[in-house]
Amino acid sequence: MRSMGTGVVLRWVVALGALGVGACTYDFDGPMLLSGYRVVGIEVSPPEVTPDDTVTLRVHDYYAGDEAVHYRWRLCLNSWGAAENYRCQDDVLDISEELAISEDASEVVLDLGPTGLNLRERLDELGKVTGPDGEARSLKQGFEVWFQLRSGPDSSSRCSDCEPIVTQKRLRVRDDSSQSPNQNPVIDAFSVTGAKRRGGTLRLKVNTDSPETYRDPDSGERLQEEYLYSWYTSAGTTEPSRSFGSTKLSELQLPNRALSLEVLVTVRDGRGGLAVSRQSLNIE
Amino acid sequence: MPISLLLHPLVRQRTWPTPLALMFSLFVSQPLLAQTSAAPPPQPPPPQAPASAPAPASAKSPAAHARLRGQLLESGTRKPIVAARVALPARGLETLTDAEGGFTFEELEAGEVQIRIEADAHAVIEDKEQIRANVVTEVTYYTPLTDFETDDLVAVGNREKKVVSEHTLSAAEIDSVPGANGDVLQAARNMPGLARRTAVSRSAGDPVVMRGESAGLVLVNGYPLLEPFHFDALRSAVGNGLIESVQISPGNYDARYGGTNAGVIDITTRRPATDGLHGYLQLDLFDVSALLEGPASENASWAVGARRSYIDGVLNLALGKEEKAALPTAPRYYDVQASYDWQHAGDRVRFNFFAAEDRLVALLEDPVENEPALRGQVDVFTRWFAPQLLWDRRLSEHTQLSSGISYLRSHFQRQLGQSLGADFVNDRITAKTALRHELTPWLNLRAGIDAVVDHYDYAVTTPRPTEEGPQPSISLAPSISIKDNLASYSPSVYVATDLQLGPLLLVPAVRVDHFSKPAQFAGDTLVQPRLNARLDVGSQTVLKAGAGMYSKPAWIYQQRERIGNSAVEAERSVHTSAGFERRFGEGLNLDVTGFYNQLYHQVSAVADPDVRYDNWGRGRSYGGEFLLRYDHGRRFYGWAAYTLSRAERKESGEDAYHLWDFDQTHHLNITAQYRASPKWEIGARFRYVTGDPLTPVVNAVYDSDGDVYSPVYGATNSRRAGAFHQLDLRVDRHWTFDTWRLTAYLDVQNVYNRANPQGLAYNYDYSESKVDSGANLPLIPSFGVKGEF
Repeated sequence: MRSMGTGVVLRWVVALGALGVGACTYDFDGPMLLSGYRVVGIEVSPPEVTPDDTVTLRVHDYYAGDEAVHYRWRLCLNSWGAAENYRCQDDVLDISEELAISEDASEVVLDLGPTGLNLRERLDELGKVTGPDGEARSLKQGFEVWFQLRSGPDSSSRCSDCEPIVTQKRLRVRDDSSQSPNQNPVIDAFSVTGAKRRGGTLRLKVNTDSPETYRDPDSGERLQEEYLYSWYTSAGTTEPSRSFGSTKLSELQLPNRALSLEVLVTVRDGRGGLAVSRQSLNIE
Repeated sequence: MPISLLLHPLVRQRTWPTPLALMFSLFVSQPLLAQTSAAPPPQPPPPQAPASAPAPASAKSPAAHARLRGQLLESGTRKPIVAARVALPARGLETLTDAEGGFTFEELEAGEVQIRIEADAHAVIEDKEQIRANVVTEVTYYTPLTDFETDDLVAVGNREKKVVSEHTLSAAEIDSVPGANGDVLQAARNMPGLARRTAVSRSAGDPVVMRGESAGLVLVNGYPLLEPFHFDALRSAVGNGLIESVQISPGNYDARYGGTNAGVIDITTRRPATDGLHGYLQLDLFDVSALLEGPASENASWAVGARRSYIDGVLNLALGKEEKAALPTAPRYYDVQASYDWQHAGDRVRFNFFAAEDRLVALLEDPVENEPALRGQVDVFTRWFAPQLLWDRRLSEHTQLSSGISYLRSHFQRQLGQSLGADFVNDRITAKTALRHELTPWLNLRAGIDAVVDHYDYAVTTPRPTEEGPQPSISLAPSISIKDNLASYSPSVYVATDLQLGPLLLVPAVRVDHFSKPAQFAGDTLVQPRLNARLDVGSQTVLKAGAGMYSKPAWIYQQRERIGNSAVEAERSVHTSAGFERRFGEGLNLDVTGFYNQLYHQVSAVADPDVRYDNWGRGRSYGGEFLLRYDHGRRFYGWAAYTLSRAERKESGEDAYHLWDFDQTHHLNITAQYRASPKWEIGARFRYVTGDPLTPVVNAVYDSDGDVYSPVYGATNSRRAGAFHQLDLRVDRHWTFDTWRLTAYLDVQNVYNRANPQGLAYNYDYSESKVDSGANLPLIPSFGVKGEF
């Protein structure tokens, strides 16, 4: 359920055809309801690196089943992006086989420097790199490399005919000492208040650090990040299910039965930074 | 059976002001009120004294000096009734009304006279008047229609045809087509060759698709508009008040038009009323509109009209505080039309002005679940105005010169959240001059020069647009910011001849278009020969055929650096068509046309980000159009239009054709309107259209940065949505008073409330799907009233 105000606006927007966005509901489970195996984000630390850094990739996922979850990572140095199903722009740019990424790990550490991936030399060999927006990128301007994760328990798939669950994550690489690199948001606290009784309502609140300011690579403007919060639950509904800016609150409407559930919040800074926090709750 | 209106208080001018006249008088003219309510009747306009005007009747007694002078007008419309028989039976006098409906009896003896007036298709009037000696007694009579005039309903299909495919709708038809709500372009969609507006064409932002090709031209008097519709397709942006007719050429159009590979819709405006002040006020489900028109002088007339939606007012009353905060500017639109028309001898000068605005501002308190990037303010704003100055001059008995200039200024803003938006200002000057000379009775020469100058000033932050198929998620598409300020030029010249060789009409023509590249004059110069032919086979049948080359300039964004490719050139096509027209008795016509359009040099998106676009796209559309039309009846008109077609595309690098986004295999439209009496009309429209091509989602990838699933699509347009079918009904009730007429109508769309499928709706990760009929309109009873005088 979205707020009434947003609902009214959306109905009008859709009715007028002003947007090409479908917003009708068709009795599907909402995107914030965690069921089966689900990935809610890949956190890369730090989210922006130089070609000589070491990065840590960690998948945040949800699975309530008993089976072992498997992970397989890949890396492409330049992809066509969403419009081309994240296809690597060239086979030689897919260097997954050369990576020393261990299989079956939800968290991997990757050395981009000369002793590891040797990213700077590889990029020099490739020459000009073009981003998915068609713009040529230099190392100083920065560009993105594309990680792909296929994950889930053996039996998991989105549907009977589907491929395993595939997740994409971009990592911004830039060699510009004049600007400080982006950092992941920090969740200081994630609180759940209210009576944990069936049919009740819980108040969810997240406290974070302050969003960073940065210079827009296209316009040169000085901008400030705006955090996007996504509120997940394994039972019941969250309202709002997404919020942004100063709205760091949500409400969890509990189901009418006793159970254990998990609530989870993700915080994104819009520039690749991610923070995740979760809590398990017992509802009487 | 004649209806006696003896002593009816409203048959004469000595009546009370009508509510409508009173209302207008408050805003417009106190003299108007005085004119309609004062005791002395209005002076009829001076008769033109045609040679055939009836002479005043006179009494035999030379001692009498009284005179009775009058005018006979039709109730509601106030049209003069010509050649009505006016008699004073007791005195043995009789005369006929003249061209202004006027009549005079001279040298009458004073005293009471009985008057009897009879006019075809109108109620008989019987009245008494007191005639005083040495006084001119003036009377005005109004009589209502009791039957239908032959030209009352439909006056279309009589235009001289020079092309293979052209259909015309009159203002009367536009007003009454069921389901169209009296809207000119919605009515035009009922003709063969025009596609139904669907989710696909909506998402492509393309209002007019003809013969499977997008970007059809919508013109007014041959000059461009910005957006033909309010809010996508809710209403035409040009109100009906001044429309005379609309011509629809779905293909093989005449050489006087250019710049599209589809077809042309040209709306012709009429001359404002010259016989007195007229106007209307109309209210319906969506908006209120009004028009005033009348003579400005002996040779000139004027009109001013406007329309304004009141959806925002209703919403403001209905919404609570929270909803209002989320909707700072509820959806609203307005449009304005004005015209000044001067005619004298062989000259006609027209000044027309059109303007429109749409606005919607919404605040998305929370992001959209499946589009996290879509949050914050949604601002939809379109404003344009377009003055036109047109001059037609008859240079000689055989030569006509038509010139005009139009200026279109448009401002187009879209803001979707914080990172997507466009602010686009376009100034367009269009100048045209056309010469028509009748060299001999069997040879006409037509030639013209068009010049279009565009200036664009825009700032856009947008995902790179794709040319076909589904669009990527807004949250994932890499966006790019561009500011630009540039001009483009499109001069054109054409020559055509109408060569009548006995029963054969040949119209060979050539048009040369130059489409400049943005910010430079150099560009593509295209020579496009065209030939249309019509052969009369007997008096009832015409065979017809046509072939020609057509072109459309590439869109600006396709040619700009960073998002496009400056080497991209205009798109080209060859239209061919052939068929016949057959007349079956009075008013029943069959029009059958087969067509094959080959499109080449089409701009096609390519994956290589260094290239982005090339001209290696191909396309073709082919099929048949059938129109069976009855347009002669006093009581009934209707048509059955059916288009069978297929539209295909082959993008750059592809080997085989696949279905094009706008393909609609079957498009059936049956429209009928029946006038049961002068008071009641009933109409119905049934439509059946094949469902849109669909590109299925076969998988999805979760994008961690956008927090959204990105669909993986299967073969382009390899599936179809279910068929669309819908029945619309309309009932009109007219009340006719002396000086005005009131119409109430009920236009019920989608009578059996069919949930027409538009495609597939998916859940958040595309693992489940259901038939999507959400954006289709449910059963809508639209009630409206219109008062006109």
